[in-house]
Amino acid sequence: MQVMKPVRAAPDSISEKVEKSVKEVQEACSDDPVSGECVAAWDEVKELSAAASHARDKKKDNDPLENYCKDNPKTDECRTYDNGSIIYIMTSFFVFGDEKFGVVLKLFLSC
Amino acid sequence: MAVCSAYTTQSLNSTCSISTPAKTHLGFHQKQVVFYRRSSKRGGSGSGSGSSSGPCVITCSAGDSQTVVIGLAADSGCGKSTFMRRLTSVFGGAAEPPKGGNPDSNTLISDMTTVICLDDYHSLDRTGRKEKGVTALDPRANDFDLMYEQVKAIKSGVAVDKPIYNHVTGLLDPPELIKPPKILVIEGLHPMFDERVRDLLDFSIYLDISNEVKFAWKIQRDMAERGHSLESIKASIEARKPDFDAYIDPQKKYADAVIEVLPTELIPDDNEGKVLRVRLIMKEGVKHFSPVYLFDEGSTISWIPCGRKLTCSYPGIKFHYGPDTYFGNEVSILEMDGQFDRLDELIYVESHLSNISTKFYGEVTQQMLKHADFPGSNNGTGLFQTIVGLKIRDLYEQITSSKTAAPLEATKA
Repeated sequence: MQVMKPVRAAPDSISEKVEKSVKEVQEACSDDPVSGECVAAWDEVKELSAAASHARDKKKDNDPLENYCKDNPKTDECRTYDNGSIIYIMTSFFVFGDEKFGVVLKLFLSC
Repeated sequence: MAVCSAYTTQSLNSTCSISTPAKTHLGFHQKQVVFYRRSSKRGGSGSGSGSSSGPCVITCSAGDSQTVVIGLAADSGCGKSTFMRRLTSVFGGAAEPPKGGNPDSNTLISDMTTVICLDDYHSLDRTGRKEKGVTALDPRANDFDLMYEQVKAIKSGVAVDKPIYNHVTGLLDPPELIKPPKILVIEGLHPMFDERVRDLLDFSIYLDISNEVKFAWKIQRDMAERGHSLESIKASIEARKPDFDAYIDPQKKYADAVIEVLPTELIPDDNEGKVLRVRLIMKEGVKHFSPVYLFDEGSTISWIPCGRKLTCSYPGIKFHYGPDTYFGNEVSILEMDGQFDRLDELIYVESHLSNISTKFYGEVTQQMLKHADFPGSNNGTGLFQTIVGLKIRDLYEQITSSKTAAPLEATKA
């Protein structure tokens, strides 16, 4: 069974990494703003921000039902019907001719 | 089209044994490789003379196993970019990371294409770069020899074990196997930096985002993250600029197509980066690539499609087309400023563009609509990325048909 997790911005570990890398920049750049260390620190910030945004997008795309149905289209939760088959099912009810089924038919046709 | 594709790493362990007319390694550089299968099934369809009267002969043209290699220079991060998704979508099928492999792999695989991220060829991982004080943009942080060898191997039909650079941990992970696809796209910061790799590319694209637009996009993307502020975002762009200008920017002049994204000229002092002016700069004289044009090739046109036939909302759409020179090369530039609001604007514009290599009327519009949720779907970025995708498909078809033509003639004789 899929465990539903609350949706967050980016996985905490990456968000923490971004925050940490920005702090590290302060240290690296305090001595010399144009040194290799400072520039490399900013590059790391950029790389981690990109990773965080990709992780966010990946989370956004993840609909557990869609993912499950992609691999198992025939299971009950994932079956899709077009109108034709509904009418067929409903007319077969109608053939058995009970008042109740007429009501059910109306309900199905209305959706 | 490929008659049959066979790829091996170092050893061939299938039911086929190979006999080649002249001995080279595995015979992949031969014109023809003949496979004899031990089973009694008849050999596969051929480029004409494939199955002889013998029980099982498959004739493959080694020329068809040549992968078409496309280079994309982009700063955006590897295989997950919108451009890649549009490109792979043109060929059909969704591109996904390799199943069952490293979940942090940067590679994307679809039926026809494989997208490789050049960050995988970093020679220094994040700690290593920090120690040496170099950015990822610096050539010293990348192994161009390995890049060249592996791209060359894939191009000639040999699978490779490519390292993985894990963007989350910043470490180099154990390699993954990459089998030669029909189309290989190498995306990253340095696809055209090394001359040997540049020569392997059948087509190259450079995505040039101007600083103002980069800044506006980064603000929208990164402000949600804790730890970022406006100043830190600006400083991070500024700090990388020297390395970027020294190592990445010069690749522009080698690209066959450059997509330049600039702030719009239609709205004075716009700094939101939502309305964009996008220029598609296409090199003239590139084999298998004929530039897109408006009205007539080689002439200069300014075109505002909005008017009596088409009503557009603010700020409208403006096109420009004309020949020019770019870093000493003859180019044609197609430019779009503004955005599309409605479907009919898009189809109207598409019907007036020429040489877009569509297979049916409305294909560009259809592709744009298919990915209406992607960024840039309502402006020149999406339009030109889609058009470049179609041009690449056209280029691929031209290359493969020219390769099958030659062996076909040989086998018919």
